[in-house]
Amino acid sequence: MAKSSEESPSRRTFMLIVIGLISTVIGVALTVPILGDVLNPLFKKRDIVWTKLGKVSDLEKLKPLAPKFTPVYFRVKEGWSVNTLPRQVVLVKDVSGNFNFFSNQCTHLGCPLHWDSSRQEFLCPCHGGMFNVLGKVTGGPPPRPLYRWVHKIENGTVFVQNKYVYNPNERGI
Amino acid sequence: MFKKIQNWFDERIGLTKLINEFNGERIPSKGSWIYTFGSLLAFLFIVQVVTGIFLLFYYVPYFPLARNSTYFIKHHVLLGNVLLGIHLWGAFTMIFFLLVHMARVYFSGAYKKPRELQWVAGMVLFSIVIILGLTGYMLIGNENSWWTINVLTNVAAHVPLVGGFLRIIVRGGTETATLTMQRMAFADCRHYVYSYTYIFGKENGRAGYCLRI
Repeated sequence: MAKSSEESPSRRTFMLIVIGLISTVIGVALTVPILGDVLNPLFKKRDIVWTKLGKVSDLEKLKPLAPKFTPVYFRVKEGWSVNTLPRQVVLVKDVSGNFNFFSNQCTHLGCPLHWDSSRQEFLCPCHGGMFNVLGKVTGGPPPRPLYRWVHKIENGTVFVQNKYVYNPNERGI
Repeated sequence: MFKKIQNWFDERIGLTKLINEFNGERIPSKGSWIYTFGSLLAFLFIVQVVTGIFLLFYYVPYFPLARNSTYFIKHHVLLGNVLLGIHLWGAFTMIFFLLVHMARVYFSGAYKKPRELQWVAGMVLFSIVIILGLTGYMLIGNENSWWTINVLTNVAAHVPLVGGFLRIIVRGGTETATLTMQRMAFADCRHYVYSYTYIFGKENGRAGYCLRI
């Protein structure tokens, strides 16, 4: 007859260590996929797409220094679906005829701006951020001027990308 | 150093005692391994709950999207196919060892006095695991799971007298639709509720230590 486990402590210790090792392996095998599952968004690239904004000939008709809010719709792959992101491009023609493609996102915490024509300023409803018609901060907490959309002109049509020209903190769009 | 850490925990939660309780369970020397299937099932159950929770990071219980989200977990989530695989094979293994365990209890006569209620609790848990398996299968969102819902709710309709009502209750309506999926998803996530039943079932059983932490 083999000795019972109580009488041979070394065998008991051996079993304990083996069980501990097996448990550790199982624990790691479970934890690693779970971490992958949770941390997955960190390894995903943002889907960057071009979308049509309008004809250059239409932009030429804009009055100088009168902002025009134009909706654009980005068809972006997100997770298991393709989503439509509705966004605003604020078109501002300056006095020399150049176009600015501003975002209507406040650079403070991302609330949508509106144009107050009586004050000639973009106002933010959240914390009182203020920008002038060329996107410079004129008051409130915003740390930097308005974001500008990446854009290109092809065959007289303007396209916009869901990406800002200068976006140091990689703010969501 | 190690001893110090061990003592620190022992003073507060009695870790060594707990580990000894896990490892020092007394079982008959004859055919000792077959007495561990109960603990194995408890362990598999915990694995299913944990992996299930984390699959819910992506899963949507709505028919076309259920398939899309399952596909996304499998093909686009980092190690998602492993996680999904653990959940799937955990379910298969659980059903298999459930049968083995019930057979062991039956043939070793572990249902006799004073353990009648353990047998009853075991039967309740048996049906719960079967329901979990079926609902989990229905949630994948492919053709198989769609027709499984239809076929099995039709099976339920053949229960005498109450069958028709049963089908409506299980489907959440007269058609297999949105509410059906919601119901199946809820039933599959009722792990949390069921786990109390599990603890009840295991409390006085041989493998009771596992969940009595």
